[in-house]
Amino acid sequence: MRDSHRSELPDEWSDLLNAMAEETLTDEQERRLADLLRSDSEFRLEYVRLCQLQTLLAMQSYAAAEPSQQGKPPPNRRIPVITRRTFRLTAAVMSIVAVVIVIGFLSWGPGSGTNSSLGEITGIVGQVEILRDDQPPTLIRADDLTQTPLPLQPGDTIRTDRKSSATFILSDRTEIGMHPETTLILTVEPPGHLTMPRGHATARVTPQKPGHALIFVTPRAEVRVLGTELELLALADHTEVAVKEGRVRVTRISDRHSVDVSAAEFLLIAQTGDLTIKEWPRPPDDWSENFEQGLPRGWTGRFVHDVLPAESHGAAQAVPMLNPQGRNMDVASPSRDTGLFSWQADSVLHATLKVQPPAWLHIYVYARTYGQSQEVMTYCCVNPDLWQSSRGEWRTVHIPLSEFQRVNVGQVEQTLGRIPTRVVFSGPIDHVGVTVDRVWVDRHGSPVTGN
Amino acid sequence: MKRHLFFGSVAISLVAIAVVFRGCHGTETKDVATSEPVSETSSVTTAPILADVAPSVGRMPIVTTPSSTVPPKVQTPIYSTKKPASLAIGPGSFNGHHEPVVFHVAGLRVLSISPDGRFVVAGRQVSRSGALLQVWDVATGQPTCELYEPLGVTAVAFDPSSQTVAYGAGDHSLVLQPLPSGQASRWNGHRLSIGDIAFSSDGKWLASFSHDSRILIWDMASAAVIGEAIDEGTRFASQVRFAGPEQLWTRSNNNSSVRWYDFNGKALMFRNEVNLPENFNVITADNSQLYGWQPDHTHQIVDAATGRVLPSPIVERAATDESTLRAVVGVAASSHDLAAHTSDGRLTVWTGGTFDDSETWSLSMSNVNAIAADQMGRKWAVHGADGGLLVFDRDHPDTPQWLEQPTSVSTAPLAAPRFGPNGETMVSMKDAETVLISEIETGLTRRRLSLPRTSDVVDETSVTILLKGRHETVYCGNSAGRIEILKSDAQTTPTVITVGKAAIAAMAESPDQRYLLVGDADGSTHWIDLRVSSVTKSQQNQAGRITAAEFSADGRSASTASGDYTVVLWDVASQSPRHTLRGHEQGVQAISFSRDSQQLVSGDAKGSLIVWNVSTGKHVWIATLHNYLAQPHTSPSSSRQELPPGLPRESEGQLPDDAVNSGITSIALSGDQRVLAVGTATGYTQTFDLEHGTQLSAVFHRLPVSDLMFAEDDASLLVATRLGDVSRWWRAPDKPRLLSGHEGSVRFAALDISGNRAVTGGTDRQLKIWDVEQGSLVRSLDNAGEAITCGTLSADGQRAVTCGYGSGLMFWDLVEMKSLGKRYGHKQRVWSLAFSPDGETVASGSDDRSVKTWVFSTQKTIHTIEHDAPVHFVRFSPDGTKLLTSTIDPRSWQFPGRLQLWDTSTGKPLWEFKGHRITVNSAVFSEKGDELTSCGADGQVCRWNVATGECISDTFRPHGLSHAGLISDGQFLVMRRFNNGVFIDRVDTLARMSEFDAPTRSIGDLNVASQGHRIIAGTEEGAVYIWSLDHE
Repeated sequence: MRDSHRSELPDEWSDLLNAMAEETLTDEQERRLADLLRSDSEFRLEYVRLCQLQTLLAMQSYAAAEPSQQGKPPPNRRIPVITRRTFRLTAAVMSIVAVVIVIGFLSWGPGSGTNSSLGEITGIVGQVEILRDDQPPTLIRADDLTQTPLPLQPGDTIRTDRKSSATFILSDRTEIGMHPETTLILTVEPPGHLTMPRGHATARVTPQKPGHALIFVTPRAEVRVLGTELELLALADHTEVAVKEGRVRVTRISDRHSVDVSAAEFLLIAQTGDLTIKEWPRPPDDWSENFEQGLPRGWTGRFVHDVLPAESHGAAQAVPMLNPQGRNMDVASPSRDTGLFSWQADSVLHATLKVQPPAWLHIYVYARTYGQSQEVMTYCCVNPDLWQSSRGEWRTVHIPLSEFQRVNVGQVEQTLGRIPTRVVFSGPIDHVGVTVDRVWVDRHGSPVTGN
Repeated sequence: MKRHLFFGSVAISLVAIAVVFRGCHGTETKDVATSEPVSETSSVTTAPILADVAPSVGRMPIVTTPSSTVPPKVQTPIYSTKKPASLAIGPGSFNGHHEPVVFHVAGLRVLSISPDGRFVVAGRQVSRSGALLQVWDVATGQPTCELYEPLGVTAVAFDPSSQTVAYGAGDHSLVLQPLPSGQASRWNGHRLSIGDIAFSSDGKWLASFSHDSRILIWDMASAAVIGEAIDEGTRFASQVRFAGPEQLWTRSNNNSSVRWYDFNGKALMFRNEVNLPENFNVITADNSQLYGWQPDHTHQIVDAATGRVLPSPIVERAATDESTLRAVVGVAASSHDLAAHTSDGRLTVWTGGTFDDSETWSLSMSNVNAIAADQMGRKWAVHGADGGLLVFDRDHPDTPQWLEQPTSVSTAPLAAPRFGPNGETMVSMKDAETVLISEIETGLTRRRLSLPRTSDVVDETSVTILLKGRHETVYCGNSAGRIEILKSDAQTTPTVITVGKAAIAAMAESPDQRYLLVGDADGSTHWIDLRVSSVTKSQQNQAGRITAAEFSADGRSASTASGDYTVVLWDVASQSPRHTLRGHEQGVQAISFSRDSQQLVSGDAKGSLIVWNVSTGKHVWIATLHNYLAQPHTSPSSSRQELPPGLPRESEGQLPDDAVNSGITSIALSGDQRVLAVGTATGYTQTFDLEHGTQLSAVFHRLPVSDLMFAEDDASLLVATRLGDVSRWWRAPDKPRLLSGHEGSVRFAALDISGNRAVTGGTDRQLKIWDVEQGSLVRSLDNAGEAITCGTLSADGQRAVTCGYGSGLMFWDLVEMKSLGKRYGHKQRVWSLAFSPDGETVASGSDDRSVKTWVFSTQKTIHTIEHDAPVHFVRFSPDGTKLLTSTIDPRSWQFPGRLQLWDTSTGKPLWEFKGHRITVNSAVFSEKGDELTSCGADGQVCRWNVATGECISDTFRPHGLSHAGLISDGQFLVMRRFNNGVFIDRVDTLARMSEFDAPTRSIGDLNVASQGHRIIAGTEEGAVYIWSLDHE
């Protein structure tokens, strides 16, 4: 258990608990106390111990005072005075503790009552396998989390399969996202280590105390994190690290060679070879093109300026394009290796367009990776709603990027990064094809004044 | 004390609650731990990778802004019948594949001028695949011969003496046409189209270079092949040239080099290869040099013998930031004079060699698509994108000679084109004085009739309406109230009938050709007795312009539509009105009788349709087109904006002022009267299902629709546009249903025999089983980390075998939903798999030149049948006793493989089917197993007698074919067409019933439910589509 390895309480905890006992908590300390009670199981344990001590002392004090109620209290004992404020605070805290304890008992299996929680699973897509101690693997589904999060213990192994993913939050509020086909082990010894034998994970790591870095261990590397946002890929022959915020120290296990990787940098760690850091672009979350000033440089299409939606002054009509499979009628953005926009989980692509029947329409998003500047990934939105109900009217469609399916899985080696470099609206040859009046990408599908 | 009690009670409560829930939890944990894996039934959606990262969005469906679509007012259907005994191709969505059958402006394919400058030859595409080759005598400016090639013309060359022109025909033959005329001879030797041809300098030999990778040397005297070489690696042949008496070079489009050959009169021998500059795009070539450009628009001349780059005098200039005035280049073979035309209309000719001297002229063509020169570069033939063809003589530069005038604003037709009564021809106006009768089948002009220019014709008079009568008669109504009757015999003097003073606005010929019913702009109706060519009765029953006239098929009724919102039904016998039909709210513009003469359909300017009972004069069905289909926009019409380049624009005034600009312009009913098609002034056709009273399909044609006609036994709809283009739209099944879930290209897609279960696999390494009725995923099975590239499904859908890029076969039990393991036996990649009809045996064809048969239950091989080439296709006969295999020539698919039949029980050969020119991609047995239909990569389809191995019949399709299957109890043959289309043919006649394009960039696999009515296709985008021939 972590407590057994902790020689002394963190200074902050001592200060907070003492202040609470002495009723000198400032508002700031009060907020921090509440935060810690919610997020840190170890702090909760310390707090319960203090409360128990206080209760014990109070009872002793009460019992000692009863025979001589008229007398003065012993002068050499400092008896905490439980004021109304303390009472309310303590009651609230105890309620939280009660809930936490109940949840802990509710949620997990044999023996868990004796282990403190390291964190909790908060989100699952599909089903996730958890291995604990010598118990048989347990399959957890999203439904199992509907009422309560799932606490994790040191030593737990979490596995996602091909169709599943999971998110958990460590006790210090560090968020870990596990992508499909990933295994993570909450290492018992040494503490603060997360072992990832394989897979793909994202992490938003809460700033750690100096000397207590969170460490990801993959077959090829150790990644020491003091507080940052990063992405990790562990494959059999190499590990990839991409840092979004802050900085991490990466140590190759084979030769203990270390390098620091900072924000917007990418590192591939193989068994041997140079540890070469590459920069990757960070385009903005939003992107827009309205063709008001003509067909912008690099776009593929034919500029049209009549039969447009109200208040529009231009649109791009599809033109024949040769692609590896043959000819299609396309409207295509320029290919920009610095990225058109950032692909966020809540990104939405919007387009005001017209498809003349009987043409169909696919929308492609091509993307590069962190390590390679050329576009290697192809995503496609195939949805008959895009074209089958159309009778030539202008319509605005809103498509979450999550609706775009990767169409070249297996043809490109797994690697980190998904930076959109090109958007293509594609339809069949020998038809008028699609005309795009406006295309834009934003997050959360925020409303935009469209046509 | 209270405080103590509080803490104490909290502690006790906690313990109690914890104990209680602890007990409950133990049970729940056990349940979770022992629960079965979650079935993925109906989870066809794409889940976000990390749900918690984007809790606010989750899975958002595609959302569209509310559509303003107003469904048509649909009332009681007018047609109801029992389901036909045989299935049709869907209800009648005529939005399948479309092909142009008549071009308003023919597209140029080949252009050349004879070495002596006497003849110009131009091969122009006049229909989807047909080409008209015209040889012009430059001196007279007239064609000396015209040759029609139904499958097109691919290459052309004159012999050095200018006495013969040779060309490659689309049927792969080499045609030699004596000049100025004479009987052409056709030489066969190639298996695929000829990419280029060249004569030796003495004219004794002719070299042809084909897409089949072969170079043939022909002896001109004996027409025999005297030399042959294989140009390894050729995908498409681009150029062949004799550089000297005994040496020639070739270039194919997929390599950046020229290959040199020596020919000693007996043998053609490869000598060496010369690399071309990187990224060099060849435009043209003479015998020793190639002319082209680099991506940065720099022009280059490259010595074919050395690959050395020579300076080019052509400098392109940027027109805008994004475009460059791309030069069209021609070269004279002997003088090496070089010409370039840029889109600013300038033609510059440089003297060959040093290019020091040049001359520049301005041509009246802004858009040139080909230039050709005679031997010495004195005469240059220039072809424009607008169809114009002129010869420019450097010795007389001020008087270019037009061989073919371009289509221009001034010559745009005024009267709308219309189909003839038998559906074989269309009548249209080429210019103000010329009427064309075009063949629908070929796109060729059958007749070219000139209007009489008599002295009493006022100059301003123009033809307002055309009607093609029976027996090659054309009626031309004009703006002066006269009708000119033209006969196909150009010598016959046209008959002129004066009807009145108002412009003729509508005409119809009675089925017995006795009467011509005429309506004019004043609303009067005139009956003309054609036997005496005189008006027998005139009356004004309608107040507005008569816009349409029509006779019923039985000849008893006639109808006229008017701008006064009425339709008058006439009794033909008495030439008097029977009913005046009221119900339209705007001017009626089109009418059509049903084939049984019992119903009349009328359409108006608003887009409303009314079906009338002819006997009672009552309406039986009303529908209204969506505004967008029927009404022009406040801004310029979409059809104007989206005109193809080179076509005149309506806004430029060439269409008559009183031309219909909104609503319904034409109506057609299918032969079985189930489908109603209407064309609109805004360029749409809309079809309706009269049986169910529903809309079917809408198609946009860019230009206003002038006439419609069902053809090919209702398998296609012919659409004529206002400017004379005709396209054929094939019937298509209903829109496909989409099965979504694969995350990569789908390479295996199959249905069980009934079509209710689909099994798919692809590069995402998943085998997916689908419930087609529900449109849901039943299960997704991992393929052990390997992509699935092909597979086969047993007829009952309970067994599958798949393979990947390797040699192993994966066996699947789809009852238990598990893999039975991977088995090896082949030494190289497996390309094709097939189940026996009883599902007990599986055949596999491999690159290791063998076919193996496996027992599914034991997954062990029974026989190994050795072949002499890689096997890319296998299929069992319906009784399982025979196995058909197709091999691919190791050199390339462009060479013929072997199509063989084997005894399944012994592994011994039975027959070999000989007749295909190149690789057979697929074949299918008839239900009884007595016939076989095979399809080749070159588009050849053959029907075979299985008992004798004889070819019963064969046909050609313009595209390569694969993935054959029989559907609807063996009635229809389904084949995949290259370029992602699907053919459905009648299996007995190979007549096309349907052709449609799959909504994908690439079809990965195509199969059918043999006893059902469904077709399945897996696509590159990971989508799986299922079409149904039944109206589901």
